[in-house]
Amino acid sequence: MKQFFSVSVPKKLFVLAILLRILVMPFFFHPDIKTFNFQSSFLGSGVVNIYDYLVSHKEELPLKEEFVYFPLTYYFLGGYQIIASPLLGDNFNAWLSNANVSAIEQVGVFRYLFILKFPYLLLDLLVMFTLGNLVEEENRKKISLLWLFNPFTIVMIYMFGNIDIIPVSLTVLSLLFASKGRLKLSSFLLCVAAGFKVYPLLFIPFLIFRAKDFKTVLQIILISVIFLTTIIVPVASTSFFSSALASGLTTRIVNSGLSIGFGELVIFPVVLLSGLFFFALSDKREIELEKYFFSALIIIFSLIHFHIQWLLWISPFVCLILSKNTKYNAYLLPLSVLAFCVPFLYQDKYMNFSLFTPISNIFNLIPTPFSVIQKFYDPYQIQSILHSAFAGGSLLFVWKLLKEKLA
Amino acid sequence: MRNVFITVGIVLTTVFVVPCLLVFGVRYIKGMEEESTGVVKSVYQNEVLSMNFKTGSRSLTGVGVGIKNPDLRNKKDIFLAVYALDGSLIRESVVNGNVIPDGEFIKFIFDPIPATFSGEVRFVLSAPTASSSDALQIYLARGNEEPAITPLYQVDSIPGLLISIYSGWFEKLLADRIFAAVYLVTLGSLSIYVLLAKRAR
Repeated sequence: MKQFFSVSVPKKLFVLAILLRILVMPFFFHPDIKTFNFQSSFLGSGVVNIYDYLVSHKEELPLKEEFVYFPLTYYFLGGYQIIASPLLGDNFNAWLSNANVSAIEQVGVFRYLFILKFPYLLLDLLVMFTLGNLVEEENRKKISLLWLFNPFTIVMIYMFGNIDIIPVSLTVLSLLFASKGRLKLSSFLLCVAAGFKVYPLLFIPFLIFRAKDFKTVLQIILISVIFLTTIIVPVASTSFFSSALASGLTTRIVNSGLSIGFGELVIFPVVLLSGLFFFALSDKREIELEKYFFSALIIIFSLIHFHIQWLLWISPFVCLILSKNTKYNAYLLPLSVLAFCVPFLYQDKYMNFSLFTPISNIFNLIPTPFSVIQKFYDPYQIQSILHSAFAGGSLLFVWKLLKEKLA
Repeated sequence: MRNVFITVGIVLTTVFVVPCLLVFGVRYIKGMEEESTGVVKSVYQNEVLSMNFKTGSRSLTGVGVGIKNPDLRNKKDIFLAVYALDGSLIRESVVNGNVIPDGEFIKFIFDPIPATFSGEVRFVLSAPTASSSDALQIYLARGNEEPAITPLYQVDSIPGLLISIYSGWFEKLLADRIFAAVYLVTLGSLSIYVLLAKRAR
């Protein structure tokens, strides 16, 4: 345990990394953090099934959105709010319930944002320690620095402030246990991660392919089915299926396709993911999981409209690949920049300047890059060109990565 | 080490410098906070909404109003006309329903009405080509029959705006005294550690 948490970078740099994160935490705001914390606050009032509660009380609630995450997100955030309530203060719930844009101007907003994002800091550091344990001793410092000092993860975790770091940390831990041959524990962690966001389920097939005997395969499948059933059954209802299952990734992944007539679609992400699964199945070498986890995600991002915070899912695997072979830097850096540019151009003010509204609400009045571009060119076309360039580069990189051995 | 310097540079620039640069993108500021809204009223064909408004002592360059566009049905133009009290049209702005998401705060921008005007004007919101089935719905002020309009004024002075943003930021932080103390002490002590550790090496 002590070795797991040993800091492989100079302490000065480790403290500097924490300092940078603390500096960012209170001053940036995306409305999602307020929405899902408002919804999770009902755990404190004893609400167990948030999906049904929000649908049945929609009319009287100030924020009308449905809860789009999986159940563990609700219990984790609601539980944390209960623990942190003495620090959050008496006005916190009133702030959460205030649907007006001026809520961001209230005194106490910096405290709320800091405290709500604090668990992210711990999980962010957990990812760094886990990544350090996934590589050889000589690469530990390198990967720790890569994780701690890249602006992409700081922006995604602390500026956008979504919950993705929770499943990300569990996914990386799962990878660590898989690398030590503990596939059952690994699959269990992936299922716990899927209890927050569904994407880690994509990785289960690769664990199955890595298993050396049928008994382990069966155990992995059983663990997954039992765990997921356990967390879904208590909340299973029409509201849950329409809110959490029929939103975001789960539907987008099957929407992008080519019609072949008679109502049938050839669904691009499914075509390529299925190709990846068959490639892994036929891979005679020991499956390098980080390569496949990375490939599965980048295939999805290449072919569907994605949220910027989803890019965090792939970030640990990018660091792992780069720490093992720096020649990939020439691909991954431009691909990362391209991937960031696409959401920057979405017609959503909270993808860019409005993130600064805790500093001043005036930033809400700045036109988005989308509306500026719209005056002289079609912004959707620019987005499409950037996304296509990202997709082309990514798919080529996946092919190259799969052919080669990482280290 | 190169990525350490780059990341430190990017984070410090984002937190401290970007807000300053963004100020140059601010073309107008709100004259008051958005009003609490009540019911909505549809605007189509001859159904218009109007209200009188005192322009005040600053240059009025637009108004913002909350508009519902259910299922994004409306793709027609909505006009905001500004009349002087003698009935003459002095400004007009148009927004297409195509770019009005449901429930969004929509800004109607026009050439500034100079501060010297300093009188009363009449705003009229109309959508003559829309029908009752695809009408846009305007949020009214709570307990009132008038649209919940937020005036937008031209920025008089960039340095003045900059000072107000940075001082407002600091005042807001200090207003929550306990948090400010803990936060600033933490930041300060971590910074000292980083600086001293560097010197020790």
